[in-house]
Amino acid sequence: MKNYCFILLLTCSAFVAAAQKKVTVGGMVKSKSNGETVIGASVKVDSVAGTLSNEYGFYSLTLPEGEHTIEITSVGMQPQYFDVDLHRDTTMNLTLDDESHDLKEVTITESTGGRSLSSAQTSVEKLSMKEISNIPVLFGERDVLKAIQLLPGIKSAGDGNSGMFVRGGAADQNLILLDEAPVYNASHLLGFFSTFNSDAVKDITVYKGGMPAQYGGRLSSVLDIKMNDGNNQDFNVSGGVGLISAKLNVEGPIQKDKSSFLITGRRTYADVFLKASDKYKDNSLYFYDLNAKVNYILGDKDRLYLSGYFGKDKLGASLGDGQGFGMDWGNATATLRWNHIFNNKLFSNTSFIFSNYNYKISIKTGAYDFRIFSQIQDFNFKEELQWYAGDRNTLRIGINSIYHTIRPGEVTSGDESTIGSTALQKRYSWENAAYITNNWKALDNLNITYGVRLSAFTILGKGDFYDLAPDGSVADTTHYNSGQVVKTYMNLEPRVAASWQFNRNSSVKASYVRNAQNLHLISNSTSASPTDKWLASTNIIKPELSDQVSLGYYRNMSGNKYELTVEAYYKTMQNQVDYRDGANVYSSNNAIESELLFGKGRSYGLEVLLKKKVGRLSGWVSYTLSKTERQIDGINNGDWYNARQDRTHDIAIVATYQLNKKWTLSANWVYYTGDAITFPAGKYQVDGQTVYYYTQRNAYRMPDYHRLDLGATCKLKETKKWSHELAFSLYNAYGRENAYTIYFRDNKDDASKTEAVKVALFKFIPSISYNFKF
Amino acid sequence: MFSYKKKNNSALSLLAAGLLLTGLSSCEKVIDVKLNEADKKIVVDAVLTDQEGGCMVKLSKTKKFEEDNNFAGLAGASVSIKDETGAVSQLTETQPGIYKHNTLKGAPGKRYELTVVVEGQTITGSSTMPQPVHLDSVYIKKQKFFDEDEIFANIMFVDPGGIKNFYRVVQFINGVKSNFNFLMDDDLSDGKDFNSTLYFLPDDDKKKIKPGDAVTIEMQGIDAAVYKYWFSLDQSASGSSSSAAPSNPVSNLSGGVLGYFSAQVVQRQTVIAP
Repeated sequence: MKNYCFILLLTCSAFVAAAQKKVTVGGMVKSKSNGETVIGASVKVDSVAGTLSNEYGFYSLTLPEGEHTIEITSVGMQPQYFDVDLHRDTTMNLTLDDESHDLKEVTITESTGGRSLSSAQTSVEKLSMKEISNIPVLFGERDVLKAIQLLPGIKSAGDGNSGMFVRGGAADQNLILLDEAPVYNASHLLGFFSTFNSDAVKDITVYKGGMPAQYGGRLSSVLDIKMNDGNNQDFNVSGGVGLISAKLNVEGPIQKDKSSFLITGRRTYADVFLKASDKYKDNSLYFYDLNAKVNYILGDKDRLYLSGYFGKDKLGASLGDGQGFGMDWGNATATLRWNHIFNNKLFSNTSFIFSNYNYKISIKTGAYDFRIFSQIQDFNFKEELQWYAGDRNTLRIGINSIYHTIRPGEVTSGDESTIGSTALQKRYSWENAAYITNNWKALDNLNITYGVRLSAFTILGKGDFYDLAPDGSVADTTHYNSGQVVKTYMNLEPRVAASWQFNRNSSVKASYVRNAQNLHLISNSTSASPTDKWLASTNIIKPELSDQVSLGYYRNMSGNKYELTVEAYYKTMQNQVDYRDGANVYSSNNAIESELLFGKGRSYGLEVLLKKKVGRLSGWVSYTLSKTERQIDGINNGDWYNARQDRTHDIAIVATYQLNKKWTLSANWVYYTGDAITFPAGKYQVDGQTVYYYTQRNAYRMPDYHRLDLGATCKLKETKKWSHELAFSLYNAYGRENAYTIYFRDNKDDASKTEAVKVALFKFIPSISYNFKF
Repeated sequence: MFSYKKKNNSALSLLAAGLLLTGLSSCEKVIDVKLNEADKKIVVDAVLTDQEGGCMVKLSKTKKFEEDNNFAGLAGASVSIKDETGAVSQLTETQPGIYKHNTLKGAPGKRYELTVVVEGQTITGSSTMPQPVHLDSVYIKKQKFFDEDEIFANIMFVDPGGIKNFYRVVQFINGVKSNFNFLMDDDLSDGKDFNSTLYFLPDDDKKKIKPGDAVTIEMQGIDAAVYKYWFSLDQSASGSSSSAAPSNPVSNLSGGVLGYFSAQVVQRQTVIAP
């Protein structure tokens, strides 16, 4: 209650009458060349920080009546200046030109853009697609998820694993949104690639802390990825052919200035080579994905967007004689959005969202003939109002309602199969949230964002729910009918952030955020697997909660050439889920809770990012010092232990050098402390087999990881009409054999001895790809 | 039966990684790992079967990782097994750490309690001997496996319906035990005909089945707790690093010791690989 009063009080203070007559100017910010709306463009008035365009390109400013200069800047765009004389509320759409490519001198004028010193938002990272495009990558496949893992506080789960750990959180604690639709498995090919085709991506923003109130449902981070809308000026075709995949992007106006479409597809063709080889001709291994979007501008006030993603991985192994294993998995999302501008101060967005993730496994060997199916599916509704309530307040008010259906596992068997058909109970839940947040410009150099998100997670029947005895066995079962409420978890999640700007070049910011999470991913292997299991909270699995405070110092140096960010955070997590020793998470037992244990976690760290944004040489150095621990009764004698993702040091250096008009060179180097891992303290024999003896959980370290990647891009031709380039990369340039895993075994030749074996995946992977655009 | 599925998943992951890396270099290297020394712990490897001479309890202690694997028995213990009627049979030490009873055998459906007194500590554990399930046949078949011809053993039996059954199958090639546990339950297969291939891909070709080899299959009927022991051992204590969290197997013994006590029914069949 106290929280509410506080918020009410602050909100009221927003309406203190202004002395001078004020007028409002608002509209859309767009790119001149392709009509794409520009997200996060900085709109300044008379050289004073004004506002940022929102996620749909809308901006609104309330100003004293009279003459002003409006300056608008965005990464990769030429700054624009408009002189205006305002006497009444005005709609003004702003257009920005792309950065010129015909500069006499070769310089990268990556215009200021970057981090906002004045905004109260802490712990946020943004990368422009331009920055991402030059980073050398595995198999030459540009990948937004891999790129953001080079930023502080965002850690890669390692080679062959697309999972990422943000500020000590687990891989399932990241909310990954593609045009607002949650993506439940963001990896292709068992983690070597992410599901996001960088050609279709317009903007990527990562919140590591201080999440704005419109986001919720995961503890550690929000990864908000927006797809391109599609060029509404000209037709464009671009594409690329690489070592393992090819892609094509087609976009253009349906009706110029009014509507456009975009279709982007990508497919790997490693299987084509498999088919060519005798040995693997009956095996399959590929993925494809498809992004599509259309949008219509319906007059000055309304715009509709329909976007979709569909991706699939397919894996098959033949055992001959029509027998074999197969597995396929994929995400599908669809988002229908309606932007409505009530007036220059009030912007509304309504979204209908569908998300689906499923996997299928088929097995046919001998008398075993069966298929396994599992799925998580969401129907999701969002409504948000953005109210630019005056020159000092911007409010967001919204609701979100998601209906989840989880089918944890269904087995369908052939007539003669040893395995019979069976199905785990479907689980239904309804996740609701309402939020209000205000961005209050308290003083010219003090910004405060305060708000609250109220989330309610309702577990619905039908199904059986359990009470457990202390040893984990089922003590009692209660049946609920279809639609019957099993339990509702309510959580009040305060979100507060403030920034204090010392001068034009530096500021400090602080934030506090609470997050609640009701979907939990259960995995029994070290690397992410398509068959990891999503579970909704139940009467026993409580919502995970996190509380995080962060404090940051931000400084622009040498006339905005350099940008320094230093942030510290402390985060506690409750109701963390782990499994009991010897748990069988794939059992047909419906009471999965009997295999789980619950505990808490804590994580703290310091992150430093120094970025050079201008000049022939650009890039950044990122360093993270951190600690992440867990404490779970029943594991490690109930003592605190290092989480697997606990890494003391994490360094990334990313550099791009524009050699001349033709050649761009790039390099990145990463180093991190090896993951915490459990090694045996001894061994013994049972029934003639060597068994390893374990004492402490995660008390050892994998060897330190480091790797250098090199890249070079050669522009073969570049004109307005048509351009093409060759991109070269060398992954792991000095061939460091980084440990993928370490395992223990009896010595092959002398079974009386045991040995530790390190497995490394990659050594020098060169690649070349050809990209074109016309 | 989902354990079977899980194995296939990891097989698929391996396959995918394998295919992806075909032509690329992935390498294995034996390395030195500095491991801290822990206090030695008592290990109990105790079995009572439905056959005479099958009762054996092996006691030992954990060893340091660098030491050899040879069994170092823990001598001088008092080991006994009590049946449901309260009759106690004392085992005798035949070699250091190996305790046997020549005539004691268990009866299906009966519960047995093991008591070990050693180094001033009393360890107990109990196990119920399951009803026997007849092993109908064992045959050896050549099979294409990723386009390599591999030879695997197969077993056939009929699972009795209406009761939970747990099986552990052990393979010997020319009398040498293959280093793997083939675990099955009837979670999804209650009352079904089993015809199961014992996929076994050792790191060394010499350990595979070759034509002319004498292959002995031992099928054990075990209780739920012992199944859990072997399942958790396979998952998290066999040295493989695919498990997210290595840990000691879930024991059915008291006293915080390592190991298990199983009252099990055992059948063996030997065939010659064609």
